[in-house]
Amino acid sequence: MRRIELSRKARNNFNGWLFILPLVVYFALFQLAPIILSFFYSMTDWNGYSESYTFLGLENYIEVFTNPILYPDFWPSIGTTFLYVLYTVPASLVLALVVAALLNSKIKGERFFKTCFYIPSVTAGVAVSAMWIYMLDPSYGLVGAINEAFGTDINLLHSSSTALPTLAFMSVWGGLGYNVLIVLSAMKNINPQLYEACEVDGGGAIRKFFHVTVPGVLPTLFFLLITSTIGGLQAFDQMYLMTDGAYGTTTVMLEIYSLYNDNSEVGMASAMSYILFLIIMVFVFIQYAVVPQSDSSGKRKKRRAYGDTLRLMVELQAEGNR
Amino acid sequence: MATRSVSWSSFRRKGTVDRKDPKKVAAKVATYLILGILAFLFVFPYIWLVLASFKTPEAIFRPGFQLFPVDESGNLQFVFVNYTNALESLNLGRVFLNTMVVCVVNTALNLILNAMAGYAFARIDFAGRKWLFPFVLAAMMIPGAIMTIPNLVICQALGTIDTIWALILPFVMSIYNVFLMRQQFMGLSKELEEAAVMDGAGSLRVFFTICLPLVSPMLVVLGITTFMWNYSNFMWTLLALPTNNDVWTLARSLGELVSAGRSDPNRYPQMLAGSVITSLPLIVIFFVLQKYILQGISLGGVKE
Repeated sequence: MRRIELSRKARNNFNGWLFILPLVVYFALFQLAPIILSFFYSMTDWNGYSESYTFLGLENYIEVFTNPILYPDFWPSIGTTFLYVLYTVPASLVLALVVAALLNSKIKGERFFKTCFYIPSVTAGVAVSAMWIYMLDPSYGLVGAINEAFGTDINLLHSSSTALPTLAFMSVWGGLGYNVLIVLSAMKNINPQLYEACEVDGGGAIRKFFHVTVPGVLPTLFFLLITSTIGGLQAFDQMYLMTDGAYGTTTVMLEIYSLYNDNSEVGMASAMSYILFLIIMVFVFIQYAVVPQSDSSGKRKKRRAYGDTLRLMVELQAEGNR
Repeated sequence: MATRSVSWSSFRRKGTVDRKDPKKVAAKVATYLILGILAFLFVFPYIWLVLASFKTPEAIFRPGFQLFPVDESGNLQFVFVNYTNALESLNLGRVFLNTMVVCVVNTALNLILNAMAGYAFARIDFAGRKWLFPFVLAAMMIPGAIMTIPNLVICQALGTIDTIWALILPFVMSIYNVFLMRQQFMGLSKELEEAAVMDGAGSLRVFFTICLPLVSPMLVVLGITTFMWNYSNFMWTLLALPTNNDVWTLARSLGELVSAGRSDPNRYPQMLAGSVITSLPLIVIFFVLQKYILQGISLGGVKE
């Protein structure tokens, strides 16, 4: 009996490690090693190719905050990134909530509308940027046609007051379909009896929306709040492709990119990556602390909210965890 | 799954609109109007892009609003010159092949390797499982872009910068999807597996012939999303493939055209055609597999 037990254990160990081996190798090589190595380089002045470098300790981390002559764009890039999050996240959530509620009001053609809204989510970001560059062109695009017709001189991407809001608008446009799908699927899971109860109490459509729908999708909205904040803080593609950081659109990721690519400052780019990571973590913790996960306490509710969040995280990957 | 679809349809029947109430009719009309306008805002740019890509460069630069490709006297005139130019400047044959290799290899490896690891965490009681899993959870917390510079450092050390390996090796697995696969396997009933083990099937056989087919809906969703992510991935290709355009992907190559077009409108015609070429495969995949993609969201909730 004992021998059988033992051999079974050995077999489990063998099989388990066989199945997990690729993960262990991958994890060591492309998660653990990069984190450790780049943390080490963040404390050096390595340029990415030369044989020698100097160990600086925490100097990079201090320099980037305190040396506006060498790193003039760092503070502004943090401001720009925060502003971008402020423009995109609340608008995305409110719009997703409203559109999902409209789609949930027993209409015909729900699938048609969902498909329309989702198309930007399956278009490669580079192609979307190209499309918008043309549309917003002050001489040839859609904006060009408006300028021609009304004698205006609108150039949205070439003005400090409109460039970032325009990119934010594009981002809200591009992400709406995904957000709507997620909020809608949460709405469909709300118990219909809650609506009936509200109706019995004499509640109209608006009351039902605020007293049943909104509380019902709150955990989902909270999940979207966190993921879209994380995504917004890492914004890069649009800014690189459409404005190249001009007119107040240099985000932290773009700043990291140019330090790495244009200046070969691998050490500093690594340090900034860690700073951005800390900023993101602070945001996540603040949101966890401030925003209630569920309308009231109790283990059951909490577990439900957690389960909902997990379910929704499936689609997170659709957006590439950006 | 079955129980939910029943409750959905009963929910719908109960909510049938009372057509006589004018207030409700007005609300309905307003709903369709708002959704219709929104849908137009989402579809119109694509229609415009596609039509513009068939215009002659002369028509693209003609002032004023023209939706359809027309010549100077107003007759319809579709041309393919932008496409032939785009094929050349994108180096399409080559970059499309690269893109497909990267997407197919990464998707296939992701599906199998993530599932294996997820299965081990969910089902196999091996020594070390308990202390290994927290690492997975911790790694899941790290946002993707943050890993860009660290991964570049590693790829430099491995000498894979400017080679196709830089697009494959860092993306053959996804810690996040390992976690999702584990959740899926934990939701399966153990009876089938136990019966198979009784019959003398080994872990490998149980995994491949019994468990993997049971989670195939999830595999489809993760397969689609992994494929799409690799197809659209831009920032990494920009940094990891700085000069060697023999290994560029479609997104990287179009990105080059877009950066050029931003400052030189003469590149617009090619840029537009290039965008249509780049968007088309994913949009076709989306329409073919629409059912799975739109349902993908509720998949994680199958087990309850």
